[in-house]
Amino acid sequence: MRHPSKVLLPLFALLLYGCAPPTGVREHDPRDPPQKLSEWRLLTKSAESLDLAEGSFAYALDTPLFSDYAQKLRTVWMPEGTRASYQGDQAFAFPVGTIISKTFFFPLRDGHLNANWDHTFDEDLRALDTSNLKLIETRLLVHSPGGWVAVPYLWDETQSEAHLAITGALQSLAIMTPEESVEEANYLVPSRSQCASCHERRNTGGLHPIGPKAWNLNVERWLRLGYLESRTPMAHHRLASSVRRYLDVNCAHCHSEEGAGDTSGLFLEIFEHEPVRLGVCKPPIAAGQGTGGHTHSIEPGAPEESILVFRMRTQDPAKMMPELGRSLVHESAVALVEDWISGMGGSCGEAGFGALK
Amino acid sequence: MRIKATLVFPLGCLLAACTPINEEERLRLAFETAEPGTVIEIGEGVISFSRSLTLASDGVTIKGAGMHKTILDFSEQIQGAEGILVNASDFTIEDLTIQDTIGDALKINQGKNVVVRRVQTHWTGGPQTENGAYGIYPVQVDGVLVEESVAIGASDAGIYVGQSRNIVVRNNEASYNVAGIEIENSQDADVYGNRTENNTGGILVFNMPNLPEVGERTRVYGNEVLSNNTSNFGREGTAVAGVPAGTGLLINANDRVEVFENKFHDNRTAHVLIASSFDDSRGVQPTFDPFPETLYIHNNQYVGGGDAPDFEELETLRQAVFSETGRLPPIIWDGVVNPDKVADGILPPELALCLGDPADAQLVNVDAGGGYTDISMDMTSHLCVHARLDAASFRATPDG
Repeated sequence: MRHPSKVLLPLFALLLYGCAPPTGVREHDPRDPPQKLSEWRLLTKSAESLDLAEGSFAYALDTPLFSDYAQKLRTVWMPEGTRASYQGDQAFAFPVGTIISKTFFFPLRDGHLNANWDHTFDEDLRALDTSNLKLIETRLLVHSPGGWVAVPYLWDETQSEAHLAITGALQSLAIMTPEESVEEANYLVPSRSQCASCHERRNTGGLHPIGPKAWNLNVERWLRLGYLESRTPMAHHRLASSVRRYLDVNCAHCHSEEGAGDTSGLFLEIFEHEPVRLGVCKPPIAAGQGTGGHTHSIEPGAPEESILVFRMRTQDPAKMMPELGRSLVHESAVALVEDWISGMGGSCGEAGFGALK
Repeated sequence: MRIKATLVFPLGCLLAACTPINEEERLRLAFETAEPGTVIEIGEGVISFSRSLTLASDGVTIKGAGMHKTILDFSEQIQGAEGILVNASDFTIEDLTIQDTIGDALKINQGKNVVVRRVQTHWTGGPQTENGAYGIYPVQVDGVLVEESVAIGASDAGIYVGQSRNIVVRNNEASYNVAGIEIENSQDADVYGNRTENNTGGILVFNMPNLPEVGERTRVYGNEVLSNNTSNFGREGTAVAGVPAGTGLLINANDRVEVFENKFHDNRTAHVLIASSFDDSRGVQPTFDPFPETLYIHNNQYVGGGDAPDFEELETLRQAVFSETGRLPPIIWDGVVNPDKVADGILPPELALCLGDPADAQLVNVDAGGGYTDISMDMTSHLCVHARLDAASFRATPDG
């Protein structure tokens, strides 16, 4: 059942507050967005917390995208009486009017931004305690009648408001990594069209949400809250290995048939099973500097000779993967991929371009 | 900039929190707020960038004040795999230079009807492995025109058209790249009137495995392919890293290529090199066709070259067969053919490697598949012609 409050609260509100000013989310044309995040009334910043609007809810992903160790508060709001529906292997289909938000922040520790934060959200979180956090940015994905539109907002120094940042921003952040070293991140707040670089699917055109896929979130909760139409048998991907989940979430928005990275012939969706398409012994197409001097995306048994590992480990923007969204190395994820490749058997055989070689 | 100055300021940084508007941010805002029909004019001068520019709107024109007057300088770049990334159709860019990007200079990924005119992509420190990979790089585009442009110093290909169709690359100059001009897994391309000089390889027509688009029907004509003898500085692991220095034109695994009326001068490995894509690894989908077929190479001018091949077996061959001071013939063929298609030891006429009848250049079959043992200068199976290929268009396939 959708929040009892959805039904009862307006009634109570009316009884209790009479003619109080209207609260709740205010819809805007995302192509002409307000300058301030607060004008959406989706997330309200007070001195000590970031409060979720009535009718929206927070959700977590089992396997999140890596973004230089930033923590994320994800919320979704749908117009009264509407629900999301399953869409096969893709993210849910959301009704027009839906607003998905993602707020990037870091816990503070000894003056650093702390990546080593052992904290899980209360699923029924209504307010994020911000007393010891630094908010960086809030990205909205708004489903207008003409399609999804990305709207980036940047939190200011006072931490009281986030301002429209169509062109994004590049921030130098000192981050205490899980390995307890302080690293300078060139943290990218993506511009609007950089948002599209990941969220746009070529064949269908337009932007789409990436994160809310059935296998990567708490479907039961979405159903219970009344935000999802019905259950479908997508659970088998839940059994996928953590490395395949990681590659899907972090790579497959581009490395899929509909993504920009299909030019490479490398496909990293969770359901991909053909070894060559996953990169096993696959020569690069146009990796340029990104080969790191290696000849195959995955060299079975040899992560140190695999382009995939090289590109995850390098911090050179011309060579690294993903191209957007990180400047630091996600050490634990690299280790996961290295273990995966180490466990692969066989060799690639002889290869070369041109019989002359 | 002409672009809607009224638009720039209200959306710009009136707020204390914003980065102060500088030229980089001003131009970025123009890219981000462009709409179909927008012309972004960039005046004379040098603009320095720390981040990539990304364009997502269709129907945009970017226009500089002149190739050598409007310089977009990325030598201080710290973010982004490209200088300019375009994910849009009906795009035109002209009259400017993009220089010293850390990755590709201009990448146009997935679209239709793209025009690149009088654009220079330039790595100013000379040929170096650390230079960005591609200069002008349309990929998966239907309808490509690249003309009167200049590409210098790319550590892969200066002008690289990949997985595209309906392509015209004309009247450009490419020098000091590993590959000057490369057409890869693309269909219906005309490459003409270009000057490729001092690259490792002048012009490449390639097919790579594991891609949905199979390249065929490329015409290479009326080009000057001169002294492409720069040592290969490509990154190990890339396809072009295997190209011998001194290669004029390399046709690799591609079909239906017609090469005529070019001037090949002083390419010291070979003016024309024809190779299959040998690969018996697990990493190639079995549907891949590694054999170049139905090639027609005729009426070209060959001067010098072949005197210092950058490939051990070829150098051994040169000395053994053509003397210490001799030259390899202008056309070198690896001699590898599809065994399933051969009858009586030769390919059927429709698949043959034809050099005209009479031919205007000598070919040597180096028997790369047999370990360079059965070297042959026999022209018999090459004295033939194919039907001429049609001219390519640079307009997208209707309803394509």
